[in-house]
Amino acid sequence: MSPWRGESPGPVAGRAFWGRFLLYWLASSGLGTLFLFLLFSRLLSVPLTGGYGAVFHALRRLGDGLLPVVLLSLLVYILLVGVAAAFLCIRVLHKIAGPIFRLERTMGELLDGEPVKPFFLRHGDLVPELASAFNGFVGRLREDRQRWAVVMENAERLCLLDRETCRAAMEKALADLETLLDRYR
Amino acid sequence: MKRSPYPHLQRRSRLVNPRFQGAPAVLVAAVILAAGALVGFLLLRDIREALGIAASRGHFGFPTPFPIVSDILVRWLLVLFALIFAGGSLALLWSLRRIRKGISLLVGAFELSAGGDLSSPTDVHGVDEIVECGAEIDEVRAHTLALIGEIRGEAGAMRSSALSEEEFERRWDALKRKIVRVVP
Repeated sequence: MSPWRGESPGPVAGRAFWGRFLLYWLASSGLGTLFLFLLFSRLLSVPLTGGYGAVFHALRRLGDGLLPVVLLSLLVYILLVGVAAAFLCIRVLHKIAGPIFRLERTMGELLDGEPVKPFFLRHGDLVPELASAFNGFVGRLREDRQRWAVVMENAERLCLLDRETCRAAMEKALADLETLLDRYR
Repeated sequence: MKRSPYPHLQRRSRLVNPRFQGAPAVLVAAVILAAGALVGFLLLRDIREALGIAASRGHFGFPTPFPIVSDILVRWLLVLFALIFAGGSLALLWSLRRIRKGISLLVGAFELSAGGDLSSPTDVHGVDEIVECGAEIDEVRAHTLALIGEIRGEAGAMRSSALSEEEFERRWDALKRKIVRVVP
């Protein structure tokens, strides 16, 4: 069973997704660096006026007073790029966290004895193998359960004949059932 | 199920699991912080040095200090960009590799279960959320195995004991109900 509802996106979707992620990350870090460059170029574009002495003192003062400027600019840069990175991480991992969250919820329903529906992924989710494996496990259990039920129903059909045949058929069905259940350990 | 009258306005939750999605974000933020601090320190050192040299030589014809430090600025900002782009990508890829490894163990556990092995522990390690999911899978497997064990035990008991017709029929019906409880 395909884990996707509707058409399967295939491996190309995964590659396209990573391509988009790298493009966003390149753009975020690139824009952040451009912002930092513009900030520094503006801060360092104070006109140098006067003679040698005035320029000497201006450059000295600029060099000494640069620490808070660089610190503040980098702090703004780190905040901007950090927020962009956090947003991207949340977006990327949403494609994995979502299916895991829904799988846990489905397993909780199974433990509570509620009907288990097939586990489908949303378009673009990144863990199709997990959904396939879970659906495979549940599907196999359902097939086996159906087989056990059929063994018992077949025995019940023989009860239409007479009591003795019915009891013998039921006991044989129980033996068959035990054999079928033996694969689970 | 109750449907929203405005489906196009439905809110989509992006932050499903703060621990799961937050940890790699913090890791990437740490890479940005470390690269920023390192480049900031080296940039400050080189700019101060260049301004000091320019001030002591005193034979420059620049209208502003920017042309004195522009080369240094461009060089270090390119280094910062490369470090953050490569470091951030690697940090996220490393986190995803750990998650993928955990997920393949979860897949293995389901495949084992489909093959009939419901007792071998999943033994998932690494990311906390994946470990928790593995524990939940083990719980489901143990629950299923317990139900199957009950059915097997009941079938064996019914076969081996001399039950009256009524008692046999009652337990037969109960057994059928138990079978339905395996994956409802």
